Amino acid sequence: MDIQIRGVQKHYGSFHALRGIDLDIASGELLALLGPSGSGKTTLLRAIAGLEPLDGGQVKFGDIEGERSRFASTARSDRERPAMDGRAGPATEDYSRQGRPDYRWVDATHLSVQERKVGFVFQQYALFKHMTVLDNIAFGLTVRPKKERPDTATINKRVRELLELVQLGGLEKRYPAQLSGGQKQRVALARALAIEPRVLLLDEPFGALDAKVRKDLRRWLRSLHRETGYTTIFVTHDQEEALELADRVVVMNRGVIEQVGTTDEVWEVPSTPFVYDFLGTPNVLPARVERGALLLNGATATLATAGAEPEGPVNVYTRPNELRVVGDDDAAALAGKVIETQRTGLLLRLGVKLLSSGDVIEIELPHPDPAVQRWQIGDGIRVRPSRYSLFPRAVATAAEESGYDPTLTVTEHRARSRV
Amino acid sequence: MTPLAVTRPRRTRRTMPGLTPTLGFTLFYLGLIVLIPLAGVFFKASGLGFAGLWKVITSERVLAALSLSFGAAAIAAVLNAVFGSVVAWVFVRYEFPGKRLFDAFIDLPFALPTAVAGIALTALYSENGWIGSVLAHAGIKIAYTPLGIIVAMTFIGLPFVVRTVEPVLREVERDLEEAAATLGARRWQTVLRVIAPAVFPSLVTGFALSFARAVGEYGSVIFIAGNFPMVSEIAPLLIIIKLEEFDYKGATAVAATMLVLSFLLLLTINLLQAWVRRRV
Repeated sequence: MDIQIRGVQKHYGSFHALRGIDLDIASGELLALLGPSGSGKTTLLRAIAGLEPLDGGQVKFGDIEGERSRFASTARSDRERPAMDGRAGPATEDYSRQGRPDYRWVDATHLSVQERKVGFVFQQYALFKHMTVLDNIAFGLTVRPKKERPDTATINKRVRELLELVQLGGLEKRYPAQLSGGQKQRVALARALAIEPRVLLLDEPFGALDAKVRKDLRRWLRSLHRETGYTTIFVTHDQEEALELADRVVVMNRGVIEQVGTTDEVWEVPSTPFVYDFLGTPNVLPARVERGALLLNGATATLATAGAEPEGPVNVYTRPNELRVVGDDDAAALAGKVIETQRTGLLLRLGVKLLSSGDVIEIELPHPDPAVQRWQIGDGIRVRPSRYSLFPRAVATAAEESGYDPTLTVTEHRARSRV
Repeated sequence: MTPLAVTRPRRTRRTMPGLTPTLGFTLFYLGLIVLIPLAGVFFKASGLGFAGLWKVITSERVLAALSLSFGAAAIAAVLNAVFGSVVAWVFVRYEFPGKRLFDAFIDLPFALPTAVAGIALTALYSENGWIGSVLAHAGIKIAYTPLGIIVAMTFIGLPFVVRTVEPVLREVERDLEEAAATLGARRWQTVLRVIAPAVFPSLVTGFALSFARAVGEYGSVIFIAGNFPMVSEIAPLLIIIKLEEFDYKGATAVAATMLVLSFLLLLTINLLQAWVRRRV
């Protein structure tokens, strides 16, 4: 189902949790809400589910009147709506009808949680402890009013299908206390899927699991999404998780959206210093833009830029793997001294103290084969950024000091260059 | 003998230290405070012989007193279970002015000398009391009837239910209710199918405590009961009466019967609870 979010506001007392959120979510999409704690990502997710009453703005659901049942086993719709328009394709096609003449947006802002029909998976799973796995998954079907409720045989069949889908076949008689974390997670997912939700919402789905299980589940969720085609939104504070799993990432900070983009876009072209900071640990180098050229503080020559930067002091954001070691003849480079070396798998990580400012920056080099110099602590080194982004100093420092004020975002002033 | 055979087997180390002293102390304490006095009751009662014991227990007056004591206590405990849970729910879920004050009032029956409670209740419910006079118009008589006993027992048992259910209710995660709502459950379905089962074990505990207290209650009941033999005479009072008549063996016979009955009931409740807990 398509979702439109317009100007959504939420306060908790004096805390402004959501400051006017606008977001469009397309049917069948796998979307990540990424941000630090307190950024409003979970509040936004709960707002979509209807678990948080809003202080302003709208949540609209796309075309829920023409929706169909996905699962054949409970497909009462097949009989009740006899081939209305001949739509019989896979589930995802059902929902991508935006633009058709009979497509209608429904204002869901005042729909109750029950009416919204969303599948919500809670961070701590919220399984009903006194019910078996089977009863947990069947819950959403058994609470339906009598005339809409499938009979017991249908429910049981449906639960078995879902258990197969989440790869937990044979565990229907267990109680939640007898399951591992990963299994609980999947039961919670199956329970949410049982109601054929319009959208699947996952709050920190892997937060409570250990690293190995987390990786497996991530891969599995990805393939589940491919199979079922459910519009899926998940909340995470783990950038790696967001980038690996999602089609698109919404980066949030202090109640606003910093950037929305595909995983490639947010990684390659971070639009604000915050996004840069949050996705990885960039080095920040003070510099000046003079006559369209970039002069790093401490260097004697300028770097070419795209040419659109405003004159004046800027901060250069560059990732540890985007710094190159260069020879003595490169006057645009910065001189420093190696103060720390650390080998991690395929990477050599160097801590370099810059001679000009005394700041310590981090460089990542591919695994040092014999051809590459073996860096020792105390060695002199010269580096220059191969890829970087510029943010005017005032904006960047304001961001750091005030914990970032979104009104100061000047996306149009930022520039990204490749050398 | 080989040297191996002579070596004493090493004692296996337990992960939790201190089992021997703590278990020893527990048994000693339990014996001193509970078991020895209770054994005394049975010892004294056994002086009657089985036939004598049976005769005392099955005498009309004793049977009436026992069934009144246990019956009224059961009714009071059920009332407390129902209304105590409602009170606990209100305290956990809602904010209202004076909440802390009400909260303190709940514990009053714990602290109040039972005789004071008995006198206060009698004054209220007697035919010229505030409540009693109103009810008298409707033809309902509370003081000096078994109804009065139930009122007194309900009064002293309320905090047991409230205080056992309250913390458990507080711990029922909001998540569970929200999960039920997202799955389409109406409010009453959530309460019935999600919250109630979670709270049930603690409710049983509260019921058992309230019941046990009511069975043993003496002070507050005798003021309001009227104490007419066969009608509103509770078993603990009968024990006192027998003691005053120097019928020590008869008194202990009634006491022993109460003990056995109470023990069986509490045991049943505990087993029920264990059964419920295993499923939660």
